[in-house]
Amino acid sequence: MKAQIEDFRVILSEVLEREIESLNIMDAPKDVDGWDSLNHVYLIIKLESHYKIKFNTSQVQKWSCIDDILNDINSLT
Amino acid sequence: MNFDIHHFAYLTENIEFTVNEMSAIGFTLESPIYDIISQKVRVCFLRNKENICYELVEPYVENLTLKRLLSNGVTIYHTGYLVSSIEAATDYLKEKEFYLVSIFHSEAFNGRRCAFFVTRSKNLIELIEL
Repeated sequence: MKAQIEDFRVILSEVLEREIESLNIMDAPKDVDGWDSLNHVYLIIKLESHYKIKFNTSQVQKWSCIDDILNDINSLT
Repeated sequence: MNFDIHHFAYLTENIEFTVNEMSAIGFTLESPIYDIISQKVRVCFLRNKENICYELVEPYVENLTLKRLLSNGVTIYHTGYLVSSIEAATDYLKEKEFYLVSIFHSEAFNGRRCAFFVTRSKNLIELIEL
């Protein structure tokens, strides 16, 4: 899980174009500056490309924090 | 499914300044300046004699994503299309693997529903329901 959160931190940092120093797995998108609806979709596209997976709409709608996203990546890889 | 182009959206730091600039090349302001609170932007519409419509978009200070686009030198950043039904267009675009960003009621279109979609290649489009 540690490697994944680090991967995720790098990807999120690229999407938001800034350093993500204090990202916590229980953070919700609304807790992270610049993580708005457009960047949320850019993040999905980047994660799908990076992990060669495809999220379905019902999965994405249930995400309330970073841990939910990591769990779904785990279930698809 | 018809997607009729309505406007090209142009980011600006200052709407009033850009309205003035665009008047020099034949674009006339054809709307009030609206606050679209859900999208954290101010917008207005300009048109020229060839019926080309620009939407000028001035992001609020807290709209970090659009501010960042501006600071990276991006100006034209989405195209708006008129559609007869947001639901039908959404179903169609999802089937084509477009990603839904948001659906909202826009003050700039008398409260009509609008939706943003983006493609894998980062082509951002706005739908405006007739």
